[in-house]
Amino acid sequence: MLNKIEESINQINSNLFSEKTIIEEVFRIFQFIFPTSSINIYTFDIDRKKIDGTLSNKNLWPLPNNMSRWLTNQKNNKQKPFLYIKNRSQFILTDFTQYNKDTKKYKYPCDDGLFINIINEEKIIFGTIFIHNWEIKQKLTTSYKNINEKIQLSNHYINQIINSIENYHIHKKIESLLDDKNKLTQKIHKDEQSLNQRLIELTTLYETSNEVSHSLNYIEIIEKISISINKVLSYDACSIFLKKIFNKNELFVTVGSNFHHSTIKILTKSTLNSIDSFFSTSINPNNIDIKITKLNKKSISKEKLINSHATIPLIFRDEIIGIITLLSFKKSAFQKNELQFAHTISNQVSSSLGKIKIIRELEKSKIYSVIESIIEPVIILDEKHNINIINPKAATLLNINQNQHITQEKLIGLLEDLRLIKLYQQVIKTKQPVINENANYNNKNFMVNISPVINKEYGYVGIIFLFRDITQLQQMDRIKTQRLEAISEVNLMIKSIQNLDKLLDVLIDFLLKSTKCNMGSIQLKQKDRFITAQHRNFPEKIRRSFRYKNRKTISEKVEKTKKLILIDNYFSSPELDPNVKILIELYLCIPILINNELIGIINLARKYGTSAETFTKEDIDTLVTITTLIATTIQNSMLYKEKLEKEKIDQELKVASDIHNNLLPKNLPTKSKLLFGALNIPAQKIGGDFYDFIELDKNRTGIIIADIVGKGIPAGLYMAVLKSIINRNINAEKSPKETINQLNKTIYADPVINKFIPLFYGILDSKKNTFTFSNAGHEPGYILRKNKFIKLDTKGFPLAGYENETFIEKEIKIEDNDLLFLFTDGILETKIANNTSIGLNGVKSFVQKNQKFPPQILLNKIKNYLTGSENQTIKKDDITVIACKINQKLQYKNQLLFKKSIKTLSIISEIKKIRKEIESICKSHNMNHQIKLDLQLAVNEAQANIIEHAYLGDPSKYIYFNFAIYEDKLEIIIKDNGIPLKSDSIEKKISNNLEKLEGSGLGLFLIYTLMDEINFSSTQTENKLKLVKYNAQ
Amino acid sequence: MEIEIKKISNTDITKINFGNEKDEDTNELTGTIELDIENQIPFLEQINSLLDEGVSKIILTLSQISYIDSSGLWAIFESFKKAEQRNGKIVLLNPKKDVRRVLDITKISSKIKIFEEDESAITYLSE
Repeated sequence: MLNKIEESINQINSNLFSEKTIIEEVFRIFQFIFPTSSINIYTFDIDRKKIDGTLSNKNLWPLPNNMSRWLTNQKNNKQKPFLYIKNRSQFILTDFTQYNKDTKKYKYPCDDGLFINIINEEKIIFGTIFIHNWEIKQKLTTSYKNINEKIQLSNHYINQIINSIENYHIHKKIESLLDDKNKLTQKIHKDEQSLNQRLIELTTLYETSNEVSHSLNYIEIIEKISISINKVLSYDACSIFLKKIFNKNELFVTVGSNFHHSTIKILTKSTLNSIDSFFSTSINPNNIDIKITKLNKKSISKEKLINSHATIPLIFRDEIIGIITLLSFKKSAFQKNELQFAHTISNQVSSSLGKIKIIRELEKSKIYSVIESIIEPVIILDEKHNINIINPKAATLLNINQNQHITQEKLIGLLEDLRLIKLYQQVIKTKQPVINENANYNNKNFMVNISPVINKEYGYVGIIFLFRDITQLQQMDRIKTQRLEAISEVNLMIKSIQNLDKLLDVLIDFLLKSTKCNMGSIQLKQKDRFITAQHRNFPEKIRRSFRYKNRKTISEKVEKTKKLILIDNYFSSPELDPNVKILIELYLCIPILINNELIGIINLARKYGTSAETFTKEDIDTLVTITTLIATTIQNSMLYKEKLEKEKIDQELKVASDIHNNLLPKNLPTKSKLLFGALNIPAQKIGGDFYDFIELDKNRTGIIIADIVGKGIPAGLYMAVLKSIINRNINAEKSPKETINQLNKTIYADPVINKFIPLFYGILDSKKNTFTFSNAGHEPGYILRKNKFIKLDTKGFPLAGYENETFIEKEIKIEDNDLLFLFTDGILETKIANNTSIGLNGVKSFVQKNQKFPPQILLNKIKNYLTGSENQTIKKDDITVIACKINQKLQYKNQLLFKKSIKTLSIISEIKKIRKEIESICKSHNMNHQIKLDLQLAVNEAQANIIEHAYLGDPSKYIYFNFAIYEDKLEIIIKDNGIPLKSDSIEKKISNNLEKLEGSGLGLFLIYTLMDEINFSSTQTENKLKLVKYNAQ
Repeated sequence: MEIEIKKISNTDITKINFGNEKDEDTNELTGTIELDIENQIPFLEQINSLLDEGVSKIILTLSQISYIDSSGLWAIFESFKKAEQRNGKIVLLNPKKDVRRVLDITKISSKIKIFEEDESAITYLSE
């Protein structure tokens, strides 16, 4: 038994059970301790001192009220854990009435019973357990011999679990506190809301009554009221009915914007129905003007039935003048205090509307006196063609003395003068008004309305004439017309003129004329400055004298603010500098803007004493419009001019460049045992460097290189003259020294060439194996022989330096494998990496490193080296290099040693196959590792490019490879039948700019870098790429 | 191509190794690979997914790469750019002579740091 109890204690204390679960567990244990008894558990709400839960295994014994009061009395600190009642008849708390009931029910004395209290240390009782054995008609002490032990056990058990019960109660208390707090917050929130609502009501009421009391327009009042009510009461529809306040019955309906038309109809009808009951006379629905206004807000409800309905009468001086009806789809949509608001506001409206009604009536009765006070001229003629009323304006207008009687004749004469007589007759006849007829009188223009006056009681009364003076309006029209004319003139002007100077010329005249100014200028933006491009009597010097005291000119201020500045009276503006060159009265400065970018400034000034009107706002507007129109045209013209100038220069350059190219040799000389190469990179499109090869005879070749100081067109011109002089003076009989002497004299005397010309001339004799040369102040030449450089130089001043300069010449024996090279000084200054010049040593070491290549290949490599460098700046000078290789064994070298052809499909996996193929070819021909890698990579890139770009990934096509090994080189030809490519488009694509890596650029760069010679050709059916590597073995 | 991704302990650096195959016993990568048009996509995808996971400091070990072409270079450079965009860094470790030459020719070596030793790469990335 103890085990079970301990287990239960554990269960309860180690779990967060609800109170119900705990009590059930307690119940279970007590059933266990008192197996034959009736067990009744009562739990208490200790705050309210009430029973809040019971549990019983038989019939629940009702715990008497005084007993529960006694147990829950917390001030009673004599409470014990248990109470055994031996004799109920002496224990008042168990209630004698109940005692009688019990004895009757159980047919047994029901004398004893045991209370085990669920009590904590502070003697607070959370509940009690009542145990009896009346069912089996025994005393507890009879049934349980060890009742004391059982009581102790019970007390122990309760003691152990009381904490859990207590905790639960604390939790409950906290929860109920939280609940209270929430309720309080909600209440505060609700109060706040209703306070807000009240505030809105009051504000709206205040605003509305303010607005309404000032308005005399009743439609406006109605609209305002509808909106105001909507602010406070959210209705779905509001209708305001006005009963004949202003001649007719009117109904103003205001609904949400998404109201369907048919719904509106139903609403209107139901509103009209409810109106009827308010008025003694019934209202004919067809006699009501209905005006419907839609609110901006949408009605949220999807309901179609009107569930809330409020009617508020509008009462003015004890008379119902109208009714406000509010409808909502929501049930009980209108709160009492909201309706209170509606009533208050309705009182406001009633009084305003009533007031207006009275005013209207007054007006009606006083129409005549009113007419007198009308600002515009009004005349009323009676049916007998007498002036009935004439207001002062009309009297002045028509030169009529108001107090004098005007005869009919005079009146008719007047109407004839006004040319209105026919119209007057027409109106009398037709009783129909004519409106907006033109008339003029005393140099004034009028619009005239003529209408019959018909009174309900008397019928036709007379004719009313209303004049409106439109003289000024017409003048305005004229100004507008002028402005339009000006604009169209400008439009024409800008369309027809493309030449900028001409445009500005016409424009400035136009602006001066239209503004009546006598001085002016147009400044245009060039780079960062605004330069006067055109002016009239207004050069910069004069313009700049008009300035602020801080020395900023007016134009500079406009430049800064981009806003038009108009100075009406120059000398009355204290911030302006009065020390000027010419006295002016007006200065107008207009920015020329395109998309808020300032491209120019117009300055206009009027000399002092010019009698002309000041500018009106319209004049300024016209000018601004014109300026805006002109801005684009000016910009276009500026661009056009720029383009023309550039085209002109381009054209000149092209011609000169063509000449230059024609002056340089087109082909290299072909000699046995000699290989030539030449490189010329002009600094601009045309350069001043010159070289030539002259075949003097079968064995002798003249080589000439010269550098004309300067570049561009003049240098090209000198070159042309030089070439003709050289052609005339060079011949096979003369040695270099003699030729140079002759050239010096001729050029010195030449009228065109007025510059020194450094020139080197040498003759290569392949029979005698000599090179004879003479240098006129040019860079020396060099021979690279067995890795050492031999300098080729003679002393001498450039050509045209001294008339009688004597030049000398030298002769050097040439040997097999000598590499002769000559260059102008341009190459030495060329920047390579790190912004340093390549210099003579740089050139020499490059040549040395690449000496094994044929001269042209060597020069191509130099070109790539110089132009391929990343920080490639504009070359300051031309670069010219010529090279010649002496090769006695040349003819043998073209012998083919090996040949192989392979065909692969255009698929990526074949790339690896070709790499292996190259590997094996290189291995069998003892080529070194690096050459093998270069070949693999170059062919790899070419192959990938073909697959991707020529065949666009089509795997069914073929790529053809031809490998050929010669004595001095290895040649690979790769062919495909894909999309033809232009060779120059390939050159453009070559790129090692990593940031712009796209397409095949990097691959092409690798091919060009790794191979010594690259040749690409393309026909409609075949692309052919030839890759050459020299001295591969 | 086998790719091994290794986090270097006590750092936020990830090291990527390449190889032809994985040794079943030692779990190490062996053999060399050719980083060419055939391998570029798996290579790039691998690195991209690392970058997407938030790894931003990467050492690419090139010692097992025997050959590289423009596609391979492009893939490396793309990864490098992408890492830079995410404020990360990619460095190259220990390329073979042949690969190094191609990196030099194309000037990639002036854009991406190349190290010979693990330690110096780690020191650089840890800064």
